[in-house]
Amino acid sequence: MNFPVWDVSFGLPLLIALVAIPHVFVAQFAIGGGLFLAVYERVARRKNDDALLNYVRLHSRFFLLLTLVFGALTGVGIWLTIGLIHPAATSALIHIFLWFWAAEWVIFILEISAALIYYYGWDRLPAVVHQKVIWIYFAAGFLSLAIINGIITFMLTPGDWLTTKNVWAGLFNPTYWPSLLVRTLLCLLTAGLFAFITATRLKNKELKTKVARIAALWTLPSLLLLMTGLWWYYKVLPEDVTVYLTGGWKALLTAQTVGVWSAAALAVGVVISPLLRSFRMRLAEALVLVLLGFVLFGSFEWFREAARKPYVIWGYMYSNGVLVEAQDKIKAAGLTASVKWQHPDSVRRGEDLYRAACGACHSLDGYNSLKPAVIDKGWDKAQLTELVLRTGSMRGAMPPFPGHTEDAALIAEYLVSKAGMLKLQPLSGEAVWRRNCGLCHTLDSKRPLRPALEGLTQADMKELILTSGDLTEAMPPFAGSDEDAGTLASYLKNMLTESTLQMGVASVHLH
Amino acid sequence: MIIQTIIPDLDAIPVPAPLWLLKTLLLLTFLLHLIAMNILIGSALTAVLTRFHSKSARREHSKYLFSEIIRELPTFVAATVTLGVAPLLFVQILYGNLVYTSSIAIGWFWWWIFPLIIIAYYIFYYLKFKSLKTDKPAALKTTFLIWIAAVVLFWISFVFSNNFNLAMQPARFSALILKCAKGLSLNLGDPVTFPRWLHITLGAIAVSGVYRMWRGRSVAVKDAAYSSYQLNLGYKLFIYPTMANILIGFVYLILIPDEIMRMLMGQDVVMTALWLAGLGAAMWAMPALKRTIDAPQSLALPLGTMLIVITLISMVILRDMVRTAYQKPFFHLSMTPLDVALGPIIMFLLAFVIGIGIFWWLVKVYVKKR
Repeated sequence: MNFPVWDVSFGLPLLIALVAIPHVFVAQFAIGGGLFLAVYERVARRKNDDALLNYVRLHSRFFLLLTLVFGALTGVGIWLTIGLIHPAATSALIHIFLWFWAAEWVIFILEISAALIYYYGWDRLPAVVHQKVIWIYFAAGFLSLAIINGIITFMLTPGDWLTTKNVWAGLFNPTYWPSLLVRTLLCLLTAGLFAFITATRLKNKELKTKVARIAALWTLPSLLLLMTGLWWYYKVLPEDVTVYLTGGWKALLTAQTVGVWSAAALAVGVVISPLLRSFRMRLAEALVLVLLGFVLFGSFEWFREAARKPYVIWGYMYSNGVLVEAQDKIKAAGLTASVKWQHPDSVRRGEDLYRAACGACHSLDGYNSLKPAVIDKGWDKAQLTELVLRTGSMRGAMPPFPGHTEDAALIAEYLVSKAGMLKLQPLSGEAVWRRNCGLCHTLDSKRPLRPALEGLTQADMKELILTSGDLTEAMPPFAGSDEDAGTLASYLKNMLTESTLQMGVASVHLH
Repeated sequence: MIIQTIIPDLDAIPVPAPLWLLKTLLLLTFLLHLIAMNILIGSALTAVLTRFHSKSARREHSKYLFSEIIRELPTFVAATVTLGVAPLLFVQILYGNLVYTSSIAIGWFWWWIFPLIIIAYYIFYYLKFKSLKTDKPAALKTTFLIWIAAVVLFWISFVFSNNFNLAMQPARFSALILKCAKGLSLNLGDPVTFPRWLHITLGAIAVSGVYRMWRGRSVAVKDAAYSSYQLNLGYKLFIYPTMANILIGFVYLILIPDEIMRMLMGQDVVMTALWLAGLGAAMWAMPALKRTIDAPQSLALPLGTMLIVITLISMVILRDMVRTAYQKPFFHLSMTPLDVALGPIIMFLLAFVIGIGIFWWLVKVYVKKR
């Protein structure tokens, strides 16, 4: 409401994902890889293993080029991107954690200078000093993670900060320690994964096997321990997220499934690929392993981001930038009075309000697109208005709509104008369900309908559907014909008689 | 043009530090970033210039200088970026509501800064490792790549200058955003845009000239001819842009809003004194640096450098005062809600002191073994 919303056609969340996920993946390699260099330089020197030492040196160049250039610069890129896509949240985080960001900057300078001096110091520094430098680098990198981890977890679980506004409580919040464990293990995992890459460049078969085994040694235990870390992490998640995980929200479940499968594929990949035939291991194979690691890691980040909805800072700021404490005030005043960035020409007001209320997460055609999800279902302006007014009740976590009915109508009008031709063919039972019930309800999970419907006849159900708007204020009037109500009642009856398991699956599909 | 000024409200969370401390840190870290940036883009330009090989007698020197600069450039990028993060943080806490908004106004141009730096950075590393390996980088390809990287760096400086100039003018950023929120236009309608950028860019080249003279001085005993080549080149890089910059400075002065021009022309004593001091120091540096060509080991170079640093300091403070003057009708820092918490400040100061200590040790052990 306060800041303008940048109009990126493919969706703002996709833009930050494109910058942040590759950055954090490489940044975690920057930490784990630092430890890897420190450990194997020491091992190689102690055992007088020149071949291994040469490998560590080769690996350090790859490490430098990837982490210092791509890793560091995409980190700056995150700064630039979050300021563009969510200035309200960025500003809040900077105000809360100012001195932690500042301390992180000092640590960043140490990291960069230690990495440069380590790399350029291979021939210049005495072995003891050279090793000290990489340990300094690793310590700085880990401290940096310890700070950033506090800020990222704060966004999901601000804990006591919400009541005390104590910055230390915000930093060491309920998910801080499990998340630190998970991220530390991801650091070790990436250290192993990228070692496979440089191992493929080695000519010496014996050394190649040795390094591949070392890489597997870093990858596999981290992967197994990661599962324990994630379990701990799940345990401390807010209750709402746990409810979603039982079947309410497709995004979270998909992220979880992708994560589990990529972890399993990675474990299998590591076991069968390098250890058995490492001396023949090619770059493409190593890249597949890195890619699997990337998918695993990306699904964790995706899960974390999705779990945080409808907030950008849990309990403090909704994802549309509205402060939780200001929600009622804004709703009372209305969006037209609250959105700063409006054209003087009222013709464009619908678009302005849409951008302010929805634009931070949604696009029309790109990521989280509204056109196929909402518009193409054939809602007219009146139905869409009812829907917009009830965003806070939807199954996937959306913030409550911070405006009046007239504001919702303006947004609905804009969305309808963007939809083109509406599809007006007779709807199937499932389609009527999706249009009218499925956005907020499931049968057995979030806001379950089973308790209310079980035992009713099909005729009773139809009657209930047609008068559902009278039940509570939160329920909109049924937006369909008498025929649609009949189709829906028959569909529901069928669904209720199927097994609970199938309905659990159905409720997932019904999103 | 739509005449409507919109300014986002200040953040609801109070700023956790005294404003004087934040302002000091902003100006100090910006000065450091500025010096690193100047050496970076000036060196990139010098690298481009050495590719012309105009005079055959100096061909060997220019080739050698090119490979020397190429070896330094990645470190200059690292220094510029790391020293740039802090002022970006402090400017956001002090002027976030303005800076975020102007950044959104130029959207994609602002966003593309970091992919472009990555490209320039990798070009520098590629050329560095190539020149370390062969000592004879392929001529045409190398020239092409160094041109690309240099153009990218100058372009980034233009986007930065554009954004921070825009951030002081809500009427302009509001107009840009209301016209199109896609972030596809820069603030080009403002007459100040180009003189402001030229002023800082020419200054950057001049500062890199002084740096070049230091590099020339460092080999004065070992290789007098090469030293003299670098001293002459450095002096030229300093003197011509500085002379042009005096002219551009006056153009800038004429084009900024009248109220601010009047402040700079005597109405505000401190502002007037600052730019006169900056100008005076730069002019005094000219003969000192010229003397350095013939007497590289004399005190002329430290004196000239000190004078240029004085110019930079006065310009950094003046730039901040001009920002305050621009913002006067709609914003003053004293409007910022404060809630100072000592614990985190002490934590930062401790981290800072320990950090500097470790940094010092790192540099010491590296330089010692040279």
